[in-house]
Amino acid sequence: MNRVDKVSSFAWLMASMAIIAGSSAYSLGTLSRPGPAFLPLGCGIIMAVLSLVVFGQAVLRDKGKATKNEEGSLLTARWPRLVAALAILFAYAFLLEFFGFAMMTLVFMLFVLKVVDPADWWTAILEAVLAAGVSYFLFEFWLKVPLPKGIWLDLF
Amino acid sequence: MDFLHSLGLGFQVCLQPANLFLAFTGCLIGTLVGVLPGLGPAAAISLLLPSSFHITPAGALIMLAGIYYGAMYGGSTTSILVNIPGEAASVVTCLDGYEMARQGRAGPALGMAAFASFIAGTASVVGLMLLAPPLADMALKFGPPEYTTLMILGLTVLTFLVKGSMAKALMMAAFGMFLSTVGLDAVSGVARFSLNRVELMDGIGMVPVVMGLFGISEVLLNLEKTFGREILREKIKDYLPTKEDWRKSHKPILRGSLLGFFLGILPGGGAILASFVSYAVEKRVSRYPEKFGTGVIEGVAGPEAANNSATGGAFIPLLTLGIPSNVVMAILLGAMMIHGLQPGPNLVHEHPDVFWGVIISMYIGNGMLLILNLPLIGLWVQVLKVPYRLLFPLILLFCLIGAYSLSSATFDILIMVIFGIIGYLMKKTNYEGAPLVLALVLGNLFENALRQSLILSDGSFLIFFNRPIAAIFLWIAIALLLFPLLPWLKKRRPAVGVETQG
Repeated sequence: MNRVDKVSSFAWLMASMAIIAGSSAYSLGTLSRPGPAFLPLGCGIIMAVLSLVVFGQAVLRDKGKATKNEEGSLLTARWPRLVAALAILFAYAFLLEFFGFAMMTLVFMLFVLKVVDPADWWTAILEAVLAAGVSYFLFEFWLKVPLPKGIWLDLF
Repeated sequence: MDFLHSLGLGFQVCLQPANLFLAFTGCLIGTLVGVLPGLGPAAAISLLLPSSFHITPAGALIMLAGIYYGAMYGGSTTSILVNIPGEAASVVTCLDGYEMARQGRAGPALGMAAFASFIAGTASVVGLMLLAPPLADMALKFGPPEYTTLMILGLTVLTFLVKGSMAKALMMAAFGMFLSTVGLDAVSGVARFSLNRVELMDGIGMVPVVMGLFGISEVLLNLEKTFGREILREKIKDYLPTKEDWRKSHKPILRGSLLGFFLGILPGGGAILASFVSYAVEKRVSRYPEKFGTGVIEGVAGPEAANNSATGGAFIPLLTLGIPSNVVMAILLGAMMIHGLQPGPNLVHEHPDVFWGVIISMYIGNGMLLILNLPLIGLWVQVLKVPYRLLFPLILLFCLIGAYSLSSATFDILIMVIFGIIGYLMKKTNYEGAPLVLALVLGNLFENALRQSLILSDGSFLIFFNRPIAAIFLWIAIALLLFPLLPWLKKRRPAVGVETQG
């Protein structure tokens, strides 16, 4: 956990530097008339200080105990499933309005049920069709959520 | 007479068939959400928020509130039957509830959990009804400095109570506060950190962030594991607790109700904190503390009473001050604003129908939940048997649709997925999401209050120390921040979980 804390606090330190740098593009104002940069700059500075605190705590823990191997890694053995899940989530976001809700949801469910957590084809197809159909009915007709129709609306 | 008139108005609103149906729907969905691990009330309310746009403000709040306290009822079912908490406030119920089930006493455990929840939930609504109007009147005297320091206190309490490093929690609060500044600055009109995207001019939406941080990240984490759920096979019978069970439980229920109510009011408190504290108290006052964890009914009755009572208490700062005390209240704050309601001390005067309608609906909702949770146990057991490989795609799908439907824009889906990745990494590296979300919601309110305070004081921060109420809030916050620095007190810091689960 010490190594994890050091890496994560470094990442947050970089983020806080970016926030501080970004805040410099706006006016700080005065104490009696704070400008748009006042709060984001303050947040960036607080984040930078705290990330150094977390880093320092990790270093102190290292010194306080005998050095031993870090237990495990952040990277899970099942990382391909995560990557697959994220890939389909991003694909859904980018392609939803083009292909429409019904088609994308069917593809999404099929992908997840077949690739991310494999089931046999017939089970995956049946479950995907059911899920897409029920959710379409539920959201489009019952909850009246406006869902994209995609290119099919123009074609037909 | 004025009070009776208000009650009458509340019943008039709540007993309309449409609102009754919405209360029932909220309680049913809430129970289902509570039963199912992986989806908490925050994510569920976020998902259903867009569909609430088509109903009246009172109806929408009645339904969404029903989801919140319904989830507290439902969470105990999985804790007792499967030893997996349905939602975070039921973690403690696993300790003794599951042991009771293993000893063949699942029925009394489930029954006591339901009755304790009903009694405490009803009591907390009475407290809400009695305390909210005078608190709202007192809050009219609050100015920008009081609001500023109250929000600082709320964030500090939350970071103090979160598990793990307080420095990490404060960092998340600062990050959430920064995220709230994205978009057009209300005072200067400058577009801050908008990356030249039109979608970011209104800021980063809370709903996609919450769904990402709590919903998507939880699914991603669960994909790392293989799920085995061993549901008790014995037929569950005898839901009614015995006289001996009631003799042992009536004081824990009373204590849990009081504790939960006041902890729920506290900004940064909530149902999770209430359940942990109640368990610790019951163990401390018990004549046989060594038996806790082996299946004592007090270990179920107290925490279940506390977590339900906290839901009533949590509405007080929201309805009277316009300040959410936890993540779920933060989402409800967003819901109220979307429906054109301004939560705060004027709500009870400007929209008494909404104010009293929601409060009375909680009485009725508690009754509905008692009926839903006992006779329908068999149904919930069947729901629990749905394999996770079917559940998680549905959870993901509902998150996607929910995010899209907010403003019919795929950009919100992207925000949700990005925060899902951030939430996943945060959980892996032990950074809590609750301070981030609370700060995100409070950020705009905080910035306005801070600016107004500094304008009032001509740039002097002493204004926060010169005004008595503001000073009290601020000194308490400072004390909490300094607490971990005192080595001999550090060991006593209560490391409890807070509303981290969506």
